[in-house]
Amino acid sequence: MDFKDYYKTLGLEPGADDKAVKAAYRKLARKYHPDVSKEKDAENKFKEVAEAYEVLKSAEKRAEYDELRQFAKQGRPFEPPSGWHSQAHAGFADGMDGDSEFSDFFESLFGAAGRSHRGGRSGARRGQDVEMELALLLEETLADETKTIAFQLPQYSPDGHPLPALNKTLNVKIPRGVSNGERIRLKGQGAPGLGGGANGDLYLIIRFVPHPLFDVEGHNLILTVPLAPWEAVLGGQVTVPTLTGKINLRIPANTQSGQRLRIKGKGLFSKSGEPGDLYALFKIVIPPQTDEPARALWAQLAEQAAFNPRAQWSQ
Amino acid sequence: MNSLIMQLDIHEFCQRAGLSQTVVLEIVEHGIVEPTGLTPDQWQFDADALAIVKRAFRLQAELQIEWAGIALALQLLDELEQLRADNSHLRRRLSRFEQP
Repeated sequence: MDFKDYYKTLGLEPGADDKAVKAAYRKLARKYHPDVSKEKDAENKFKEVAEAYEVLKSAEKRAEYDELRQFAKQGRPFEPPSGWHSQAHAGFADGMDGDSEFSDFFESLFGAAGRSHRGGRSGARRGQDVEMELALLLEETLADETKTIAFQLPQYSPDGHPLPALNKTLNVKIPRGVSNGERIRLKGQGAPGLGGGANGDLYLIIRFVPHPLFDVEGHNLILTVPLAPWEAVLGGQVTVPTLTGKINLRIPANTQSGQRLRIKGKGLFSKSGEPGDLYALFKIVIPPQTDEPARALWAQLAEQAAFNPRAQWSQ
Repeated sequence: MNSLIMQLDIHEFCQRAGLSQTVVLEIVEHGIVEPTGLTPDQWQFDADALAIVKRAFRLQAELQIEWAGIALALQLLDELEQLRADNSHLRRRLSRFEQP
């Protein structure tokens, strides 16, 4: 076990006063709070910060810690001196939501008193609600889809100690027309209750997997359709993919790059079962290479087509 | 579909969230969640509200911010999340037009 330098965790000098401890905690908590932060590894960093603050904010715990700190040599495994036992068990983690799990180092100093906070009281306790993200392909939202999901549930012994997580798998029916970010509740599939308490619920948060071809806009889809210059000018038929198969699309003459064409009913479904639309968004591309005869034809066109694409600049 | 829609009255809601009625009243007063129904006795909360108050309470306890600040923080975080989603959506669409 390594000695944890709580002052360093909060970026403080050992002599820092209570005000400085509080200010440092607040600043780092805002930075790393998992509900706020996009930092990598925010959750673990927040736990470290919370643990450091738990000790340094309390005069009693801080005094004990400071005393122990003198025994600790940097870079050497840490053992609490024999006969060491904490005086400061009472009042642990008040105001926290009881989920905090502090390090072995912390527990070797102050005991696991906080754990009893969670489940130690007698009587039935409802299990925790659990959230997980479920990646869904766009194709999978078009019909009621059965997915097999695997997840882990936190477990606690009757006296409130954490047990190894419980692995579960479940077949879930995802209703047609779910939307990105939607929460689906599976009643009673969360963490098991204690002492006869009800199970928690499992919430699935739907996340659409980005599609290589289609972009999602509400219940509509956008497909970028490349056109050759002559297809754009002359119009004609092109075959385009939809989520459910290929269709033929009539391109009107003189189609511009960036222009959209609506293909009714080929989008995603809404909750009420109405299908959204698919929009073909045109993008004009030119051949990567041009041989001499083709170049001559383009040159002829350039001469005849008195067209200035930048006319609006000269106004 | 009905099994997916959860409506909780204030007692069930407090119990599920692990919060006292006083705290929930304060959260509602700040418009952090908006239950349907006119009086607290008639209030109904949905599953999203449950997730929001849990998050609000964590922020309140762990960042030591008062409720008005939490309300603002949550609103800004939602907007930020929406903007991030819009941004990545638009970037993806733009990348279909730009040459690599």
